[in-house]
Amino acid sequence: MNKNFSLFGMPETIKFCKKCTISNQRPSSTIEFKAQNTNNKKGIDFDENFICSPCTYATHKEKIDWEKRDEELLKLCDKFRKKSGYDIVVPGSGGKDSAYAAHILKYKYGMNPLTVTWAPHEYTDIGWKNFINWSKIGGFDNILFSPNGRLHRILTRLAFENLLHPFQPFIIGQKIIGPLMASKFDIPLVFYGENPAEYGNNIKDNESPKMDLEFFSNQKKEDIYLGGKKIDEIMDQFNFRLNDFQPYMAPDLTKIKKNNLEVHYLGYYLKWDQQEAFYYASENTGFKINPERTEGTYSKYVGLDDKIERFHFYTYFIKYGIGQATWDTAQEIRTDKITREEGIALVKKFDGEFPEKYFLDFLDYIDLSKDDFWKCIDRYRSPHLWNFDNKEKKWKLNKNIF
Amino acid sequence: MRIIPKIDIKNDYVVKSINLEGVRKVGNPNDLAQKYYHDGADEIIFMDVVASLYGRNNIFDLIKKFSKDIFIPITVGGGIRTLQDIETALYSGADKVSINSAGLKNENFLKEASKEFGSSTIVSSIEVKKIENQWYCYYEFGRENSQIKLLDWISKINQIGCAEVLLTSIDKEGTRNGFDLELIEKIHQNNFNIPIIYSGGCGNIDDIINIKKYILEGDGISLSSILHYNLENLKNIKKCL
Amino acid sequence: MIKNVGIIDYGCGNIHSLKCALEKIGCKVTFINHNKEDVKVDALFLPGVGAFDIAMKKIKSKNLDVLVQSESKKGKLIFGICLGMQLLVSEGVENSIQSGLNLINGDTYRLKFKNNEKNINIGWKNTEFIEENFLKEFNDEKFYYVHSYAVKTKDENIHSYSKFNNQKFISSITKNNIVGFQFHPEKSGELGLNLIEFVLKAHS
Repeated sequence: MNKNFSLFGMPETIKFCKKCTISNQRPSSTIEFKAQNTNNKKGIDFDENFICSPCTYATHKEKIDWEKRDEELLKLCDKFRKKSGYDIVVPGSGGKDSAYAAHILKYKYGMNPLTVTWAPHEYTDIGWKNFINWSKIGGFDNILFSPNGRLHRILTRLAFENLLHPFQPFIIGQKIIGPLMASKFDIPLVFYGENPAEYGNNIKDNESPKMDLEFFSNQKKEDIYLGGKKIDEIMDQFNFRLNDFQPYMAPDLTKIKKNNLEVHYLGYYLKWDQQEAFYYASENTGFKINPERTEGTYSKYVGLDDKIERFHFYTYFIKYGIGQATWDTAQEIRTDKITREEGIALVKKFDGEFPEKYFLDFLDYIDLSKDDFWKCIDRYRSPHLWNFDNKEKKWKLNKNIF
Repeated sequence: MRIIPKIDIKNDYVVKSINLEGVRKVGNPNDLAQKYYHDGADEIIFMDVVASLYGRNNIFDLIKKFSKDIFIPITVGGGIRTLQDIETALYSGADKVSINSAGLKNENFLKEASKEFGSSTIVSSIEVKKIENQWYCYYEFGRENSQIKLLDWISKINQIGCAEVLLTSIDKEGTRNGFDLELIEKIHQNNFNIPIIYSGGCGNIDDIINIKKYILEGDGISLSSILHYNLENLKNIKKCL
Repeated sequence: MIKNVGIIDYGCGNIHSLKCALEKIGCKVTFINHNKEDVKVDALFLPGVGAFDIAMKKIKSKNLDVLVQSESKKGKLIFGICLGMQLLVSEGVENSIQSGLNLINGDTYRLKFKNNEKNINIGWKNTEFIEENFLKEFNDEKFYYVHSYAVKTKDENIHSYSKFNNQKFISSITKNNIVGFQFHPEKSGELGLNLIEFVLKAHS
């Protein structure tokens, strides 16, 4: 195997954005239902000066007429606002982003949200407290939807083993829950927070406030892959029925269209700033930061709720050499909180730090031994990213930003 | 009661955190320093909030500039790790230096610093958080738990002989919901002879009045949000007290 | 007003702060860190922070004690601040017994404090200047103090008093061309700068 062979079809030469800390190994997003394996991903775009598309978008953000966007939001709210009952669904966990979104839509824009939560795998104490305060102090009705735990655990394990992406089932459920609940309660509008395009997808996706509902196009169960396996195979192997997979299957698109359901990103209308969302949530919904620094990054206000989430970032680090510190610093550089130099220092200090605190919880959740965990991790170390240092007896990245 | 504005600095800006997290820009260091001096501050504390994180000291150049026009005691903290750092800080215009991380990692450093520069020059800065009924000392701007218990640490500082302790409640810091009463009561009960500056949580004058009975001659309070966000000004605060 | 001043730099004091304060009121400041024949300043400032015995050892090692004493004999204004004031007296007791510059008769003692009191005098305290004293216009004003030792001296040398935990202590002393302040006039705001200016004018 060529030493520079990239396991996932990503560029073989590692390069870093000239403005932030992100590298060209960052894949753009996948349609999760179709993911059978990890091959042949597409990286995010870079321009001729090697500036990544999220950074380009961040510059572009400064030129947007936010007053005009605010007027658009007001118009939209005026159109959907109801005198009684719920007029919007705001999905989220009570973290800073959903806390900010729900609160501002209710109190500034006069909407009546039903907040809807796709339960974290395992709530942390601080995550649970913030979730409760979201309702208790923020003042919202909430539906907490916990999927079939037995299935969710198995899917998480399959996703870990087959894709090294343990968070995949969570991401799928989280994307569906908003429209699903909106559909069930006949609420015509769903508001998510940031547009994922801010982080690296097609920049053109930022020009529309709406989520493309073709994502929910009628799927035949034969076409759906969860955790890299076909639903039929999972049913057979683990003794489930088709009914058990309901939360992971998109709601009927015809029904959605009939109800004129719209799914918007608040980040299109309001200039998104993660740190300001944290301040807002602290000041308005009783949001509290992590009592300790989150392993793998310097931040105490991101990634608080779910014990398993750190493994999402850790596996991402293994596959793409991009850890949570890189992610957070890139974002804070774009919003002018830190300089690139400071970002690099933080990446050097924290990126790829092993999430020891909830390791046993994770192994228990997916019912895997320590040995098997590491065997699996090592299978996904692409030779173009990793080499094993025989002297220090540990894996090292071939190239670092520092 | 000494009334001491605390100005947190990152690069060229004054920043204000909540629970020691976040670096929201709230003003210009020179403007705020001059304002607080002219409004009657008893002393001013300047903290470089990212010095420890990045292993650098950028604040000294800034201090040199505005200390020329400020004639009340100035305390400078953030990333003070060596005796040389202290000397540089004093030369830049600091009258006192505040030490947290370096002291927790090596208490001998505090002893040496007190001996070399005089105990009245050394302020022990403590960031404290309550975890399951026990108060713990943190460092690196509230990021790392030293696992050292608060009361043990203050007793040590009391013996080492620093000038005073700057005690910041991480739970209350930046919240503007009032000082950490439970913490202050606890400290008061223990009768430490070293002067204490209580920091974290003040949002209005009533908050100060509420803790007045715990403040002994020589103690002080440190104010940030209430001043930076213009919720109250120093002249009013001093008048009410 | 005396404008040409020197600050004794013996490695124990906030000389930078003092220099800024003196320059603010229009002085030209020179640092003096060793004994020399020809001292071209008209007043000497003696700052001080830290322990008496360590400070005196440093001063003696650079023969600055000789310099201060000889300049004092020439009638130049000697202005001691905080520990610098304490060094002017005969003897200090901090850590070990150590003789001072002996320009004013007296010695130091540790301020007392009870169990439920603080162990150093720190903060802005009212200062009572004696009647018929040239600094009487500053009577009852607040100045900034930070010290744990104080001086004892004869009545005729006492300028002002202040209080620590209800104990009265001497807060400034004088004898002819020598003046010392326990508080920090250079850290007592505009008021402190006025006081320094006043003293420089009075002694010119």
